[in-house]
Amino acid sequence: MTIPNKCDVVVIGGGPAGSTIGSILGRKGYEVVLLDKARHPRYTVGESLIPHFWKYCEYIGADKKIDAEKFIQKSGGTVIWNGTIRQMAFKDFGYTRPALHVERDRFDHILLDHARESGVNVFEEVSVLKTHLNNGTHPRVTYRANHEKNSGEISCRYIVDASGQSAVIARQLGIRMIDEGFRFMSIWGYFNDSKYVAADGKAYDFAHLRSIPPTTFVSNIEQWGWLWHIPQRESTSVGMVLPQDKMKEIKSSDGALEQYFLRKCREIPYLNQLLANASYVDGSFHIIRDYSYRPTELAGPGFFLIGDAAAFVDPIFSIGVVLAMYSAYLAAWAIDRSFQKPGSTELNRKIFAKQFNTRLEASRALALPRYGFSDLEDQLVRTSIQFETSLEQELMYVVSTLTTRSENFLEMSRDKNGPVITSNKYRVIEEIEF
Amino acid sequence: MKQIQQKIRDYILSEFAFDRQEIAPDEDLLSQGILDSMGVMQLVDFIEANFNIQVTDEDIVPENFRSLETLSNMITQRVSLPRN
Repeated sequence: MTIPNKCDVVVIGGGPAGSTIGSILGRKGYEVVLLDKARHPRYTVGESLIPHFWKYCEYIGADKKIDAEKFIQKSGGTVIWNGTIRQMAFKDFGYTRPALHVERDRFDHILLDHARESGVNVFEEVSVLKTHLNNGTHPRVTYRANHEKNSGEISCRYIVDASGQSAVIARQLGIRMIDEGFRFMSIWGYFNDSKYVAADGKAYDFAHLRSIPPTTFVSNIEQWGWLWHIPQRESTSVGMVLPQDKMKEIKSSDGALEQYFLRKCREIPYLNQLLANASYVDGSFHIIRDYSYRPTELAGPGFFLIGDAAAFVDPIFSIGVVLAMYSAYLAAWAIDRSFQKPGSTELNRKIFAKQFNTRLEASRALALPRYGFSDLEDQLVRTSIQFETSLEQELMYVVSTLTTRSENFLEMSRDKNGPVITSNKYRVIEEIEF
Repeated sequence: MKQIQQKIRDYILSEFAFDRQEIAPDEDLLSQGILDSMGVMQLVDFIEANFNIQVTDEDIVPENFRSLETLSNMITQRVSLPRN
């Protein structure tokens, strides 16, 4: 099939954000062309999902396909912060569907296939070279199939940038801003046969993963760093988030960072016990530098930025995929309304940007220590917290008590004008039993 | 006023709260988990289609979407304003 030269909406990128908006608009009957520079399945990170993602999968009708894949179900979280070990379980919050640890190549592939079945014209191994926004009048996208010499062009009504960290439009417009208050880098790799921590506070062999569900294991590394340990069907993802300035001490060559990572895996208490008999998967080391960024505009005439192509805060509370799907839902809502009533286009864009920005501020408040938030940002966070159900508010409250990184979030969740959130749905344990 | 509340109540019961028979006018739709951030946007569409008003970005705040009462207050104020 050849790429059409005209359609209603061009979506750049086939991760969860792109596939979600494609599925929604495709099902509404719009002509959607989705371009992805890779061929799925393709590797990406972000493997821990909180149960909120299910409602978006249900909305687009993909939940049965995700369910059928039998990803690892996790029961909750085990967080060691400054020596205190806390555990929380999703079942205590009354969630009816499980949190998952997913191999993202597979998870993303299922959603992309679902977008195809929803009527989206998906073209893989096609890179977007440039967007021509034309102030919203018939914007165009210049692309090139990876194995071809010649480029092509599609004319459309809206361009949705769901290109992840590539952030095609934000970079082109020069509106992608590194979050200066939050200069961290991330390094990670994979291990076979790692032990894992279950909800009972005991460590189990990898072979028990199906019969005794794991928790996501998180621990602080000195003052602001932290690590994750996420067992999946075949292997366990282990990663570290570290302040950039501290990392300057280490030679920043990739090889030196990998050695540092492996040394830390042997040194950090509990993690070293989990990995004692595990084998490192050679060549599985990854680095992202300066990953925390946001744009000065989330949308403009003819374009919307969603998922990581808009902003990325911090992976600490596993909200990346949920934010991607939420922003996809919002952009689909705005685009659908704008097609139906062109006069409301600008207003719809404003509503999209405001609601999405509100949610981004809440994620920032959860993940960041207080770095001089303004009153306006505080207000946005309060609004976002209150727009969630008590169940979700309570979960946010509990996760914010597990580490010292969310003190500002805690303060704001004690808003006098809104319902007071409190919860004791976590427990402190003395030690992890090996 | 009463009519507006009933219309919204019927919509919410049919779309978001199948397991319920009734919603009190002052019941907190947000903290009760009846409306979430997705439901709020669907409700915006419903309000615009049924009450002939335009909901703006500034209207979509928890204070307005908290209960049937606050929703109908928002709509009543808009309907009584002269439209330009």
